Amino acid sequence: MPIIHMKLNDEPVEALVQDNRTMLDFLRNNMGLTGAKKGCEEGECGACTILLNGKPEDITMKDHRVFIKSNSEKNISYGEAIWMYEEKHFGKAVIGVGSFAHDGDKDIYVKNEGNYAPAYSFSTGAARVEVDDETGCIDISDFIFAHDCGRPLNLRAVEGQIEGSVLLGLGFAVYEECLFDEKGKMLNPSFRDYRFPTALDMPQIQTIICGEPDEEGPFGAKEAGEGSTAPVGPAIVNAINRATGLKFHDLPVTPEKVWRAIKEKKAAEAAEAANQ
Amino acid sequence: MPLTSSTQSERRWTSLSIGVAAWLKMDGSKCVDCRIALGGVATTPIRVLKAEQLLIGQVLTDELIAKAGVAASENSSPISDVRASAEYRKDMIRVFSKRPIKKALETNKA
Repeated sequence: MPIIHMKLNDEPVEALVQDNRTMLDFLRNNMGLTGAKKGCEEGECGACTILLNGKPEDITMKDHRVFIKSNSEKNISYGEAIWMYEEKHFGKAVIGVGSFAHDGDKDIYVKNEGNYAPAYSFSTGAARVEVDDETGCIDISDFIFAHDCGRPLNLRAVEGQIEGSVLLGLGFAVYEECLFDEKGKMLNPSFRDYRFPTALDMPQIQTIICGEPDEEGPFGAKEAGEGSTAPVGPAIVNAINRATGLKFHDLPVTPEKVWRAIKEKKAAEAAEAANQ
Repeated sequence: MPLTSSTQSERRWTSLSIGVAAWLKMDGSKCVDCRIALGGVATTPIRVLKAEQLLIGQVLTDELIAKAGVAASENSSPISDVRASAEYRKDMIRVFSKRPIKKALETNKA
């Protein structure tokens, strides 16, 4: 095993290294610099925050921008930095590969104890519905969804996730129902009878992406996926409650259920009026 | 004499597929001739003659149209299945029968 000498982040390093070990593996495993990522494998652009032998220029990252260490004013954006690198290297693309895994407690998988995630997202929704009191049909005209996903890494992607969540939530709140007979055979095994919303059924959706960057998550991100389906059903059913005064305890709230509940309510009111 | 017709079905929200078509022949506000057909409530499409007879020769008011809806509902016998109960279907025939008549009158004005 050869001994290597180098300057790493301005500090001299002397280390014993296996023959077939790559520089990246050496940095990550031997030196514990796990910020270094498999990409160019040259460490040249400095994006991986490791400076080999004092090269490249001393740069630092702050607030999504690239700064020169000697001058706190001079900075460029990530996009500009990558564009400059590519221009300098005749269009050679900057490619990075990364992943994030929360190094949490394994107990959660074995004993079902502990913390599931490093950070939890919060979301809320509000719906405007019109209920046809003769047919029980519900028309959702507007939906507002606010989601705290930490720092959104890609705004359009988060909005897409939220709109997808509204579609899923709309499905389980008012359309999708598996029906079975007493022997357990499914009674509606086709998309004609098992209904789910299509693009034509989607309401107008306004998304609000809010919240502070999270300390634990990658680049301050939390989640924007499964968790955001949760408030859709309650928002719709609460709106129906506000419109009709009826409470529904089982989903989906199909037109027939609404129609029956309205009918029962009217009958109860008529009986009460007759008693007085 | 203006002719007017309209159809109404509610396939979007329910898997229930009742279709109602109404055809009216008007002389001013008086109904001279009328045909109402129901689809998806029996093995074949049916005409509800009793509801039609209620309207023919009369000045169409909201009350009369509502009565025609009730007559259409009473003169049909839909089935219960996985999509909807007969009870719900029957009430929907009432609703969907009166709506296209009103809609036909509205489009006639235009």
